[in-house]
Amino acid sequence: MRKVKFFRSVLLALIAIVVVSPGLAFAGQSALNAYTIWSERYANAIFSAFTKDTGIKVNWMRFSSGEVQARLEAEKNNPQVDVVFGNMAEAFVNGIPKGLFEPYVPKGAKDIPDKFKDSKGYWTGVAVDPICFMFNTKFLKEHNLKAPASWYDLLDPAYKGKLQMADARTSGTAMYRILSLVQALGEDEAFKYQKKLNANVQVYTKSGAGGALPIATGQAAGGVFFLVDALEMLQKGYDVTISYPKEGVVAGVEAMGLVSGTKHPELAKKFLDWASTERMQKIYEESKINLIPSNPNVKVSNPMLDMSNINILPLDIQWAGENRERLVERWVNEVLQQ
Amino acid sequence: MKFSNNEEHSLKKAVVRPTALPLLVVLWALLGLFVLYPLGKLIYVVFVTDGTLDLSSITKVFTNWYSRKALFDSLVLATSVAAIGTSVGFVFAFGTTRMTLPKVIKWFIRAVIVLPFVSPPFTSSIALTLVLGPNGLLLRFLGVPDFNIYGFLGTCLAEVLTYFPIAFMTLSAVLDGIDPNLEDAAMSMGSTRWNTFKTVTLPLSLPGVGNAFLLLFGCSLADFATPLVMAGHTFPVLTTQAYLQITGMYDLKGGAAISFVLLVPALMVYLLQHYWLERRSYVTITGKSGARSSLEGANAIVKVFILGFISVVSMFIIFLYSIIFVGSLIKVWGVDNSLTLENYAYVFTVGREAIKDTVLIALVSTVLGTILGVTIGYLVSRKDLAFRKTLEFTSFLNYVLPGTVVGIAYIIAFNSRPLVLTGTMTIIVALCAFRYDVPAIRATVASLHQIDPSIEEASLSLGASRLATFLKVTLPLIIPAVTSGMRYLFVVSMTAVSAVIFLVSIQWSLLTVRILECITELLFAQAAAFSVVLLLIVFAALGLIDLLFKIAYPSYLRQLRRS
Amino acid sequence: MSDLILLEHLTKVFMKDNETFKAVDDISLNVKKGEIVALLGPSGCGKTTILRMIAGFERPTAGRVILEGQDITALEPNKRKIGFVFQNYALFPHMNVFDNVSYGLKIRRFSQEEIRKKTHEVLEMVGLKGVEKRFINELSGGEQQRVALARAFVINPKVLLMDEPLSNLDAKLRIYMRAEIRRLQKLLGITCIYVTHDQKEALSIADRIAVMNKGKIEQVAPPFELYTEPKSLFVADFIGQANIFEGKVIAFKDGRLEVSIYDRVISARFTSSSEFKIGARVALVVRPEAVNLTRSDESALKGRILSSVFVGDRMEYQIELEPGHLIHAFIPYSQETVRFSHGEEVGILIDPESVLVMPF
Repeated sequence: MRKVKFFRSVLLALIAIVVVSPGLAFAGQSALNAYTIWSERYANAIFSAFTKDTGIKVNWMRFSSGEVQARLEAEKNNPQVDVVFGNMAEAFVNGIPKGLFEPYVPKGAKDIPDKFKDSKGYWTGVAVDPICFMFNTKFLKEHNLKAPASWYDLLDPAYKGKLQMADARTSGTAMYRILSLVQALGEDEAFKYQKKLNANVQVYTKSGAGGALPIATGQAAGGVFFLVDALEMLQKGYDVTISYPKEGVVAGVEAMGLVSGTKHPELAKKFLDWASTERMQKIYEESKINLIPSNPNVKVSNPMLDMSNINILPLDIQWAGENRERLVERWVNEVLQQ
Repeated sequence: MKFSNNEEHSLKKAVVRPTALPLLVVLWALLGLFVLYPLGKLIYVVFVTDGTLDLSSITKVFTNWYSRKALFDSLVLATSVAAIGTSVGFVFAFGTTRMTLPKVIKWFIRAVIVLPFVSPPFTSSIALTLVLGPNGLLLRFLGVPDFNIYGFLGTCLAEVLTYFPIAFMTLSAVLDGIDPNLEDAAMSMGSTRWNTFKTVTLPLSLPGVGNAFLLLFGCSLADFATPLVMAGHTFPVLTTQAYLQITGMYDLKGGAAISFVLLVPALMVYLLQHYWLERRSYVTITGKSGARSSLEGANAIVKVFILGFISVVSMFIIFLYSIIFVGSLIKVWGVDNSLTLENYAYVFTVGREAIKDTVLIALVSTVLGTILGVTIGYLVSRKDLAFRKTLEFTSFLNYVLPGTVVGIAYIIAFNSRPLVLTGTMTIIVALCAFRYDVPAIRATVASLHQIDPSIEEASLSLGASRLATFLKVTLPLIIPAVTSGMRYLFVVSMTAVSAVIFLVSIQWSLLTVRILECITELLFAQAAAFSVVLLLIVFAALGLIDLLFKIAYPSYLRQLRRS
Repeated sequence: MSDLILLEHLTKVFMKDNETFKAVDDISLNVKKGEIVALLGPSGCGKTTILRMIAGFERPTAGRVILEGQDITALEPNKRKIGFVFQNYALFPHMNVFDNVSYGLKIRRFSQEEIRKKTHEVLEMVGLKGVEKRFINELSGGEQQRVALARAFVINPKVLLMDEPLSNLDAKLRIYMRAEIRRLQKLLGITCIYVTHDQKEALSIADRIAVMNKGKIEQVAPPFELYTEPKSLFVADFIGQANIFEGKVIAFKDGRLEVSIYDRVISARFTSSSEFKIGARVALVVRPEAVNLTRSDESALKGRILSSVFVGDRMEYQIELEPGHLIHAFIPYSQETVRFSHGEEVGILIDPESVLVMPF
């Protein structure tokens, strides 16, 4: 009987602990909160280096580009994060009139070329990343195909149901694919083209890098990616071929910025200052993150990151940011709807 | 006898159960806040713009081609899943109730029932992708490399495999409840087995079949995880469209409108089931039923066919779930098949916070949800309570509606003043507790119903106060109900995704959301490892709940044996 | 002896299907200390409702319940110190025998030592030593009944209410338990109100019996008086078996009534409470054991044997007097008893002392 009573009180105590503990968990939390669109490994390398350098703990979560934007907008009245790191510059531009960001010019921004940063400090570019094609080499060989060298090469019936690329509603990669096409072909032609391309697409993945592994492993033939994701596959030892369309591509600027109304502005600014230094961009090469540094002083040794022979089209980030939603809607209504 | 026998009994009121007015006030306030307020806000957002009635967001759902297709697809999918799932369930139920089955098959069937219940909702989707997806195991084995699982086929298959056990359990209860004398009587009048089935068994089980169909229809309509993984862009359904509308394009109003379109058929299904079908069951009419005769319900050939079907389906499901386990130990599925523990290392480093958060949230939700469920169940079973039916219906609402609807309603309601809860654990716990407490309510009502009021009166007449009576007599007697409600709460709080996906935040992430992330990144091995870890936590927790109550209430086991 | 329990004009009205239904209709009853009073009546006559009002499980619509001179009508059931033995025993299925019996003591915060002592005493008294650790579903019906009694006895209640406590037992055990309850009740001197629909149970167990019908008490009397001096046709019919005939009062003679029945005149008793007029239609009540059969007596009422059943200690005959009019006769059986066969014409002798006349 006494044993039973003891266990009943243990049970009650457990219940009490469980009910009270979340309250305790909240107490004494002073860490930097961040959203990023970078993959787990990249983000981890950057944020843990920051923690190592400054002792400030970082809570971070990764989402695709569109989701980060949606979350910021949803949380506008009650911001959950202090900084956004690595999202596409055009997403920041899109968020400025919505009041999602606060200007802050980080200390290291002076070394970053003007085209990679906002003059008021709403966003500061940390890396540049062009759009490219990535194809499974074995597939190309088996089907006697050359690596595509034009956007129109992707319409080859040999690729029917074999291409994977990202969904414009969620992915920044997809946005840049569309922007590349708009810049290269003109907007109307770009959508006509994508409508035709749709027949060759196996699946539109939610995240930009989503199709990379299936292509690397031969479940799909190829697709359109950011260079960083394509190089990641190459680096992991998969036999993929990277190529560029002669009509040209745009290069995405990955940026960071201060979330407006943040609860830890001091921590956020500290992070932005740190992340604008050469020290941060050097981590790319150290950690085998294949991004092109936005700071020209940071040298890279990987020849694949040399953009001098590639037709990089100019991109009006302001226009991209303002037309983001319109382009996505057009994509859903014209490309998905057949 | 001149007087009807039951008069005195039926007039007995449960005097013992105290009218806890303050309790009732608190309860209604909570239900108002966490059930009625979000739904009201959802409807407000859908129908009102700038203070005036505006139907444009609803009409947009019907005029926009893509969301119209989503509505159509949802209904097609739900109908197919319900039809196929009910048929498969019926074959299983017929096999188990009308035939003597080998032990192995019985074991298979038990596994088939338990596995989908305790696993995260993506499990069958991940496994199907590994087996039938691009470069899938079975595809390579069969030599059909160009098969595309994404779309209607894959979604329907995954949902049937996940939900048919529900139809099976419903139907086997129904088939078991048919008085076997009826079938024996038909046979003794010269009817063949087939004729007996056609003229007696099937017609008598039709209300059950209808019920199973509606249950599965509702499940498929509300399913979010499966189409998100399996449907692809060619087969949009309402739940995933509402999600993409909100998370992808930040169109709360549009997402809310889609979820409202989803709410209507879901509510209709529930009402149909609750108020129409429940009255049509033949099964309870027959009083004392005879012993089941040892006659097999079908002839030898049909039996072989049914047994074969049951074994193949069961083995396929068990195969799928073992694939998850194997897949979690393999480097890159189909490419580099070497064994590795890397994926588990990934789970326990990258996913550590999520595991901690999920377990904590599930524990808190379980405890609070159980308290809530037992309280509501206790009040609802009081015949003299005012607005008893309303209380019951209100407390069932969040459970009846698809998770997507509830999740969207919650972010709409709690993302702005007066009560900002987004980003907190409270919002996730509130959602779980007020949504998944329904089985606890039902179990409490059912077990209170079985307790004769005289048992409580006996305690009173022996000098115990009403509170002491509740604590010492009533509560221990409903412990089995409490634990079954607890088990459900814990499992579902651990595995739910459709509603909470809108509510996870930087502070509070959940395992299922991590699994989904792995799937969208096509990290199936990691997703499989996450699923295995989640499954192990669930099993451990279920064992722990049982153990705790067994020690705290030694008579607990005895009760279970009795019931 | 003073009244321990007093029921004053107790009334209970239920709402049922939007109609009111008077379950208990203006009942007054007193129970003396140490007495067993049985409430006897058909199902639905309101006897259980009375019990539940005394226990406090129901609130009376009108009237008062007085215990030891105190009005307890509005008192909570757990404050009344009244024991209750339920028809289905209402034992706690999640407790063993010891915990069931000691429940009331624990509630009253007796010391561990006292609880143990008292519980063992009462268990021994009801003959349940050695099963303390058993759970309720491991006990036989008879044992469960004893646990229910023990649980009610142990708290030493002022009054013990029993609601058909034996109705779930088989016939033999029921008869044994009647005696057992009577023995324990006298041993402990407990005042008892006992509800039953079984007249034999009531007759054998009670000091006084209150016969109830349709929410009212028809008569309260000791068993013998109830049997021999029923005050109403309902009581006469309900207690024991009775042949009831319609007759007409012809004359008063020597303090008795002459009543004509089937063209014969029978002299009969009547109870002082009723009044009769010459020529009035009356009911004649004749107990079957007061009927004798003969082959010889010319003066007797005549009839034909319709059926004869041997039930061990007696012969039970049905005799047709006229088509549609039957009389039952119970003839004690011994070796010498004359036996009549089916269809036989017999003379019917009725002991005038046992014929009772009642108003219709």
